[in-house]
Amino acid sequence: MTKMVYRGLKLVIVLLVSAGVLGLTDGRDGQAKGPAILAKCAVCHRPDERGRLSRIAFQRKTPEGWQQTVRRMVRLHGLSISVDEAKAVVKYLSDHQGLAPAEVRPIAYDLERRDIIERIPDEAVRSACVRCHSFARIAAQRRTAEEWRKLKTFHLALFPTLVYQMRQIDWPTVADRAIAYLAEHYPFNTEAWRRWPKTTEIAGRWMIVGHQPGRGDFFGDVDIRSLGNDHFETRQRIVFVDGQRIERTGRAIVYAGFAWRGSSQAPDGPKIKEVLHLSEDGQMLVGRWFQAAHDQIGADVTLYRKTRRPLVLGLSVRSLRAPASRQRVTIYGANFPSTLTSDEIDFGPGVIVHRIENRQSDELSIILDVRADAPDGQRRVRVGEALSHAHLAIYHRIDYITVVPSLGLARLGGIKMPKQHQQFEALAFTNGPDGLPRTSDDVALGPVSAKWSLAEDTTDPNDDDVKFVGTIDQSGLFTPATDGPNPARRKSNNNTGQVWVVATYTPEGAEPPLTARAKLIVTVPRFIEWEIR
Amino acid sequence: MRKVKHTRSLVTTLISMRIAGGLVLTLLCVPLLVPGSSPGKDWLFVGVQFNKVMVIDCQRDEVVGEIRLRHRIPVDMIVSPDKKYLYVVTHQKQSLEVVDISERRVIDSIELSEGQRERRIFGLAAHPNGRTLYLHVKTTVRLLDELTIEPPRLVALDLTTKKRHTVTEVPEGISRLVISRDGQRLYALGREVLTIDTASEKIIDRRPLYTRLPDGSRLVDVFHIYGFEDQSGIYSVPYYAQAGDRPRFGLLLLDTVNKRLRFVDMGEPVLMFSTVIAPDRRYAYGVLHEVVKMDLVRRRIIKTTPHDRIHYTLNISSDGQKLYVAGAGPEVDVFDTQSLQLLTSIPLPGDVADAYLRLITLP
Ligand code: HEC
Ligand code: HEC
Repeated sequence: MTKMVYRGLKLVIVLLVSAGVLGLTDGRDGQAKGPAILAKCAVCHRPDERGRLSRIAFQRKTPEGWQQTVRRMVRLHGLSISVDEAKAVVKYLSDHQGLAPAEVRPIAYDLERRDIIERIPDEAVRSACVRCHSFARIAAQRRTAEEWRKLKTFHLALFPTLVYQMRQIDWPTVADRAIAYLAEHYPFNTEAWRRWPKTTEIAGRWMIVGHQPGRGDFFGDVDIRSLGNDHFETRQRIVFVDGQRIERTGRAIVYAGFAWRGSSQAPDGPKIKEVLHLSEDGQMLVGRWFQAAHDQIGADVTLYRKTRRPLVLGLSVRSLRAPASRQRVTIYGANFPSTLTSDEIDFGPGVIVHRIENRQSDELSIILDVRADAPDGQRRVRVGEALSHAHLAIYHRIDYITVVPSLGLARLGGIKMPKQHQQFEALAFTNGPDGLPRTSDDVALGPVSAKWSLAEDTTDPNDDDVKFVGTIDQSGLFTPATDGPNPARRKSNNNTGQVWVVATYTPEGAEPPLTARAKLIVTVPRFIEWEIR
Repeated sequence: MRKVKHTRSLVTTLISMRIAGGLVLTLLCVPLLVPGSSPGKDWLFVGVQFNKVMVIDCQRDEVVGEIRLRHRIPVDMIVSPDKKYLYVVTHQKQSLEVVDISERRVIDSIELSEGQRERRIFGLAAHPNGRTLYLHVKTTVRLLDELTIEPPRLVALDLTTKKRHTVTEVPEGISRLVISRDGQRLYALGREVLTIDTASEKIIDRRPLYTRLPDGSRLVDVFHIYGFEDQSGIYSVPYYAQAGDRPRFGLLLLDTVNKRLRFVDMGEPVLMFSTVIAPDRRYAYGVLHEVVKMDLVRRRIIKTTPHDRIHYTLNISSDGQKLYVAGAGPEVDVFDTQSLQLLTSIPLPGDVADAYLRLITLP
């Protein structure tokens, strides 16, 4: 026993020394000696003749992926490590053996906690692997062929009952095919990672454009101040188009030079998590903010680096109906010159800007008319020489609405586990030149404030799910009922079920109202929450 | 291949039986030499959380005793051929405990895991010689920086010397073992049915299950979870199949007396976790959300009783009169096999999680 401990200790010391001599070597090509921080790992993960720690040096993953692995080392293998040490390990490994922006992009949805229906490129992977967890958990890794193979054995060893769960397929054989596919398409060494510089300047002032389903568009800016070591402090101001203003302060860590993981909070608001990724040109941070406690409630956000140049971010409206007169529209942006005149603001044919009513360097309030002959369609808004990200759609009639997502998922909660809500949103469209709905020339007019209701999706004659699953409010937010058996239900069933979510909207002067619906599945809570689902 | 032919001919025979009517019917129903047919008194043994086997007197349908186990969570249990011992799998399938039935206590236990090897029992069967126990063992090897496995294997355990030897390696996915009444054939059931000759310890037949069945339908699922052959000598589990665009369900039957495997289609699917064949071999019962009675000759469900509890497993009294249904909750529910009415519910001190009901008739 003492001998074992002693041997472990000697190894740690040796490693500490070599790390000290060699400094923090780059682990990108599996050449890592590992810094002092990996000494704890080296007790079990022995270095080879080139100093590469077994297993560890042959995998690359996201910060979430590394955290998940380190957690398992603690949970199953008795690694003892302090929170700060674990954070340092995850930081080091994500920087040196992370993913490149192009490798993260296809699976960013999982890190951003979006519940979507995944596209799985390979049939063997789908049937052998994407049964207990997402495809993203897999595609968010790069491994040597040998490390992919070890993953199969790992699953068989850790879950002896896996083959019984998967009994409808010959799992070991199908898994071999899946592993071969993964080894080919998700190799350890890639150009994308070799080329990625990993260091970019993120500190400074950024402009924000966001959309929170059920709530609306918002704009704003954020000051990002470096605390050193890829840690940052933030001060953020946003304004929703309905006028509500929010200020939040927060902190963030950037991994591998581009993966932003932050959290922020307004004095009286919920804690918000921020998962953003820097674009390769370094000019945009794109991702999602969501409530830490209810990650289904959140916003799509894009941050643009603030320069000296004027910038148009967006408008207080997504669309306007023709004809219209004396409409007030706010243009959000940055660096609007004080000399700007209404002639310099252009909304395309058929839209006449009368005057600038109110002028600030980041907000312009203007009055405009839309003529009856203004053609339907999207137009880009131009303000002087400003770089513009703003579009406005002109239409004469709303032809139909749709509900997104078309398939929703909510999870019961409130007793054992937190409720998982589902936010729906109704979007309006006009048919476009071909006069046909749901074709590629349709013009998207943005969200409308529909009336929301639930209806039974009858799957058997006694179906009564709609009475039990939960409720939807008038912002389209579905709140599931409580988890656990319900004595009021047949066989004391849980409040699970399958229903329709119905949106009804009556555009100005239109009759009858437009309706659209989406399917909603209300299921049991997620009892285990993983870093990557 | 040979097996397939056997099954075919059996199906054809069964069809002709329907035509021939009564005569063949009686033939089929002649009780074979099965333990259920010997007179005596029934006792039910059921494993409960966290570490007990409860003893139920089936005349009174009451708990009359309990056996404390050495480890937690009994998950599988079989009876010795002489009905003197229970072999109970515990400790996350890593231990085998030997219970002396008359003394109602654990007299021995065998720990399979050692060093970096974790060995787990997924199915076991007792040879009629009373000495040999066959275990299906899956091994996880814990290396310093890696978890790996050894191929699953069938192991023969000599209960007198406690020596173990490997009979044969088997493919992944085996979950139950069944032995023929004469001890000559050992069957390993999973995605296929492996037949092992116990004398030569060789696999002599492999019959894939996830394929076309003799009646032309395609098997899509079979639940080798709680299958067993008590009372009737016929191991039975539900299977689900697809005949063209029609989903079907039926029973996979493995007769341990005449060593035959057959598939009995039962019609439109009703979900059940496990089934039991009555001692008369004419009727079968299944359970999950409801208790279901099936006729093996007319090949259909003849009665269904909705039940407000979910149950995973069941067994039947030696006279075929009572069904014992359990699994999930802390009770055994007793049903009348004629009316399918609930007779009584026997409360237990803990949940019957993943345990198996064993019914023994003792003089
Ligand atoms: C006490 C021994 C022990 C220590 C200490 C330990 N590990 Fe492990 N590690 C294991 C074992 C055992 C496995 C194989 C089973 C598994 O993947 O969970 C493993 C596997 C791994 C793998 C491969 C996982 C995969 O998905 O293929 C990685 C990566 C890893 N460890 C990283 C680390 C890091 C980083 C540390 C230090 C912070 C660490 N380990 C410390 C025992 C250890
Ligand atoms: C029976 C369910 C199941 C199936 C099937 C399954 N997995 Fe997993 N997998 C898990 C679980 C559970 C974990 C988390 C293990 C832990 O960290 O405790 C996991 C973890 C992983 C990880 C993360 C490991 C790490 O530490 O980085 C990867 C990658 C992965 N699985 C890939 C696969 C692939 C590839 C397949 C198909 C060959 C597959 N999985 C099939 C259940 C499954």
